Amino acid sequence: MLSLLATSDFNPVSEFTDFINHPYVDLPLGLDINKGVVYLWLSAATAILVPLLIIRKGLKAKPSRWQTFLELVYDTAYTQIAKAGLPEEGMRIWFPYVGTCFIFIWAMNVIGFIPLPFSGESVQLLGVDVPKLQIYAASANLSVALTLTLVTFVATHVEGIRYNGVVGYFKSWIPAGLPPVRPLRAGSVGAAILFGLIAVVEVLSQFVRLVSLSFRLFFNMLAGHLVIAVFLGVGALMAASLGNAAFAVHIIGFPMGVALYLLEATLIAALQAYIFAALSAIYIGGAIHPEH
Amino acid sequence: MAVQGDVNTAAKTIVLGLATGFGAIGPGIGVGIIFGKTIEAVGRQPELRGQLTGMMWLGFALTEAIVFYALGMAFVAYAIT
Repeated sequence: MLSLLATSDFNPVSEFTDFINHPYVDLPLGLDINKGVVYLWLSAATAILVPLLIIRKGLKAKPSRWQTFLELVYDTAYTQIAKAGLPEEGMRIWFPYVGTCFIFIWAMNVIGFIPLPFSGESVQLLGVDVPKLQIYAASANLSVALTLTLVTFVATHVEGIRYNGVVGYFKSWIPAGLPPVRPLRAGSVGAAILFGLIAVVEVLSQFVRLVSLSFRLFFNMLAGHLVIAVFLGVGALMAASLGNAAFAVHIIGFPMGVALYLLEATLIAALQAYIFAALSAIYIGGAIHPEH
Repeated sequence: MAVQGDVNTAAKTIVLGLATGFGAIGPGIGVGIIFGKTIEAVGRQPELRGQLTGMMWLGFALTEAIVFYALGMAFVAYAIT
């Protein structure tokens, strides 16, 4: 990610697509093992192993610091995310899903702010090839965010149909209180037009959810990484046009970059995971009990 | 000073900045309103703080995401033109 500063040709999009063309292991059907896949594996391993190790160390009545942390995460997932969105009968199936979403996306986002040597480039240091460190989040990739969103999207409609029936579920999209459409009566044309308009808007809104949920996660991480890169390297970016004066810009830019890094790695990484899980719970809960 | 370089790239870069900047105005106001109103509400009823904070972060994220529609469209325009 930060390697973009070395090149004068700044193309923000290529930085997030180039690694697809340089996989570590080339497999057929596009199942390559590239940087994004390695980061996903790392995130999954972290999300599974860290809670498991804390539990294996033994849970005590007088909790250690790690146990307190884990209990806080579980409590947030249970009361703030699942309870706030899901009805009672959906908790048994969908609390594990939204809780997993929360922990997995959080792990993915936080790992995205740890400098790791997966860039595939190296630098000569005292005669030894040292791999370049870089920060890259798997969630700063539309495929990852969209796949997670699609799981929520499919789950929403499957649960809606399972609990309300096909007719009942799609009827629930139309808000109550519209004038009824009765053919061959006065005012039926206006009612039909109104019904049609609202039906179109409601169907559209279901697909806008798909876009907004995936874009929010994807662009938050992408823009976070870009902003950090720009501030940390603002001197290098401007060196071509400013010459030695670029150093003065760098003195202001570097602390800003560090501050933004801390904000993104602590607050935004956790917040985006929380939001994704909470909105998943609200969408699924809204499909199970449409009148709410 | 003579103009140097690719005018097309310059125009695209300016538009990338303008689109993101204008797109950030509305959500900026919205995020301010959300935090301000939450502070007001907590001031009136401090016992609801927990519930209000949860709703505040949800509203914050929903509003903030609108910046990224502008940023996303700007990137797409930058990449395809």
